[in-house]
Amino acid sequence: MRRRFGMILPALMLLIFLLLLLAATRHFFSQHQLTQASHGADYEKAYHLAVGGLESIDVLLLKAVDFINDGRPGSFPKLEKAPAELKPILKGLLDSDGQITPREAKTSLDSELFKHLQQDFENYSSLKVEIELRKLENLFASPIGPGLLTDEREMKVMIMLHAEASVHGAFARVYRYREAKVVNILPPVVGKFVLFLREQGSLGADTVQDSISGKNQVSDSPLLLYAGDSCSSSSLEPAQSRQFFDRQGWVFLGSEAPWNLGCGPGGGDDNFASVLPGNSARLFAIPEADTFSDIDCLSYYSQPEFIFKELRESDYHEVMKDCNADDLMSARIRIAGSADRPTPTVVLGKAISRWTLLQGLMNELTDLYAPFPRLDENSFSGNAWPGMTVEAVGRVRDNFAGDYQRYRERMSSIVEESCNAANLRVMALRDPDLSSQIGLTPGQLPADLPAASERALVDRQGVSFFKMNHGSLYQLNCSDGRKLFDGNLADLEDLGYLRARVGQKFATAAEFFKKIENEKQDCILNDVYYVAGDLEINRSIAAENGCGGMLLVEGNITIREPVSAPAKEPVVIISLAGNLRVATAQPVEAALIALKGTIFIESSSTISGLLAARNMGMSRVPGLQRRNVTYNENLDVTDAEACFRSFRLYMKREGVTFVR
Amino acid sequence: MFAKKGFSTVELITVSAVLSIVITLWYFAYSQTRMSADELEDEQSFQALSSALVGELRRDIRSSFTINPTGPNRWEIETVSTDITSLPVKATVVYELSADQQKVYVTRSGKVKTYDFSETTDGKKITFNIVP
Repeated sequence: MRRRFGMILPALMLLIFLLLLLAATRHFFSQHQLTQASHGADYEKAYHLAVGGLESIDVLLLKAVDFINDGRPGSFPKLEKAPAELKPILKGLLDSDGQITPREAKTSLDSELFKHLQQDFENYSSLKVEIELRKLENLFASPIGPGLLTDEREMKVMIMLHAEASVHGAFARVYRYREAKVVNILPPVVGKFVLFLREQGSLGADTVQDSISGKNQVSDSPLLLYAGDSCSSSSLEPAQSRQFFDRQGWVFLGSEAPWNLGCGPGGGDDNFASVLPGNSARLFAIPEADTFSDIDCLSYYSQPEFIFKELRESDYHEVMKDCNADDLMSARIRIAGSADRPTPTVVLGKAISRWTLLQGLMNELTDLYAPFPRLDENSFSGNAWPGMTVEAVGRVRDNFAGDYQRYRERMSSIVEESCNAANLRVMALRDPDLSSQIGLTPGQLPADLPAASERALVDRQGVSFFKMNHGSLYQLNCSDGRKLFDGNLADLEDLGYLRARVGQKFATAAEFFKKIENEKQDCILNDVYYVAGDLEINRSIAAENGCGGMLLVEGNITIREPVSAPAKEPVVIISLAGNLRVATAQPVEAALIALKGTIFIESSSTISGLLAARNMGMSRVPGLQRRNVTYNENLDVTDAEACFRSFRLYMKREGVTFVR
Repeated sequence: MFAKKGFSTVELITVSAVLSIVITLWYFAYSQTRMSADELEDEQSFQALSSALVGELRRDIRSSFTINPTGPNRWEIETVSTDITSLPVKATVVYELSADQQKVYVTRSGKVKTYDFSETTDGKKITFNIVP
């Protein structure tokens, strides 16, 4: 029987093949979809891993910036003193000297947290976070104003964190960036001065009627300037003098008219009294040509004394009765601290110190003093000498053989000399004759005595510590050699270029206070702020953690509440075009600047920082209330270390995150 | 005995019937397979397109400052991009669903990118919405 082949089997096999093909196609597409979904899931994991890494480093970045902005000396050198967790970030932001320095390369960061994050995701994951500090531009376009020189270390930068994560080959890259400013919060140039006044204005610098009898007798409360370190008479070693004077807060008194600054006794209270050039009497033997030489127990004496109203009265033998009332007025500003805390300083400008030199006869047996009154030539010829009988007048005139010029050398008088001459008296001079001299002049000083500053020039000559420094061309240098200013200090008025430092701007004071208020409702400064209008500080504001800050106000500023800088960090308050009024007796720890306007001190006040203005006004406060300005040496722009400590990296706390 | 030559009518009819059934089955299976393949291809294309669109949108949203609806089917996203020096710069990206609801236009730095779903949805309208 012949075998017969059918068609059914091949047909069935074909059908099965087609069905398998269909199933395979289905499977292929399904698997592709699954792979795609899996990749999408892996990408999401990688994204969240990258965000986790970014956030963990971002927290550290904010801490690192806070640490950089801590200007307290104890936190330097930064790379050495930084907590271990912040060191990798600081290495990405600072150079080996600790200066904020942009660079080309990114710095890779690591954190213990990364390992935990990776474990939380997949074994086959990786996470890399880097930090980049890139310079965008210099903060200031040059030139910025007459004489002013800028620091190229002040700049705009971008800080960017790069986070790259992968999970099973799916990569996610997340970035967070912030624009930041590297600024120096010190006030330019004027930061060197505890008092900087471009002109006298209507201050009436020498109009205090002082008294030796008591506070209530004093017509006004003078402003005491404490320029830095205290130094008593004959205590400053010559080898230390340059360093000492260069560290002090200086005084600039502009204008061509001299500033007469009489030394007053502050009601007899050393806390308010001026620092006198010396307060001990020096005795001189009476020359044989003088008739009083016949009396062995008599000597001439000279004694520096304050200027006060009682010098015209009988207690003081009316020695200054011949003076005009104006001649017996003393200064509203005590340049070098007070008698109980002298802080010698260097004055730039035509500043004259005035004090009384009491002279006359001294009886060494009775220890009595008989001062010769100040007289003009006509009075000398007459018999009506203040405080003396006619007989005594005759004997004294005979002593000088009726020669007024000889009497004049020995009579009491008002001495006028450069304010800086008083600095001679703090020098510890080895020569006892020099030490005891009252009228010491710079020419008498030892040749090896450093007499000029290395930080400033006036008309191309080094600023003298002992002579008057008046000129039209001033040059200010930092201790590291950088030139800070080259021009006339009296012309320094426009600080508008500092707006480039501003990090936060406000149209109104209310907006400003709202912004700086923290959750405890304290107002904290830690940036450079700008307020477009006037600003009344009617809430206490503070700096903290050594950060400090700067406040630029276009209009007028009134300070009614305390401003505190507990770590003596620089806090700078500037009115760019208006006036600044201090209307609180509470402590104001800030540099107060109004170079186009007036700083007005309304009542008693305690300021730690400096004052700089076109001119100054003070209300009359009789009875001696405390009014003082204590220099904050952290504001010293000529000190390279203080300057270095004042660089800040200001940026918004919130960064901008994006993915690529 | 005569040798049997050719097929009987019954045989021919039977074979024809079987062949018809097989061809019918084969055609049915083939057309089903093609249809499924086409559907899958469309679905795959749709998935790929929508995945790319959502990926781009997700990236923009994750980098965004603001998302503003500026029309019934139009949204402006203010986002961050990078310039040629890799510096971040602000950029505005516009997402817009076409009037026929078949395409999504993404305008970035003046360049328009079109996500065309018309060939993947078989004429059906798509839904595209960004909820800020």
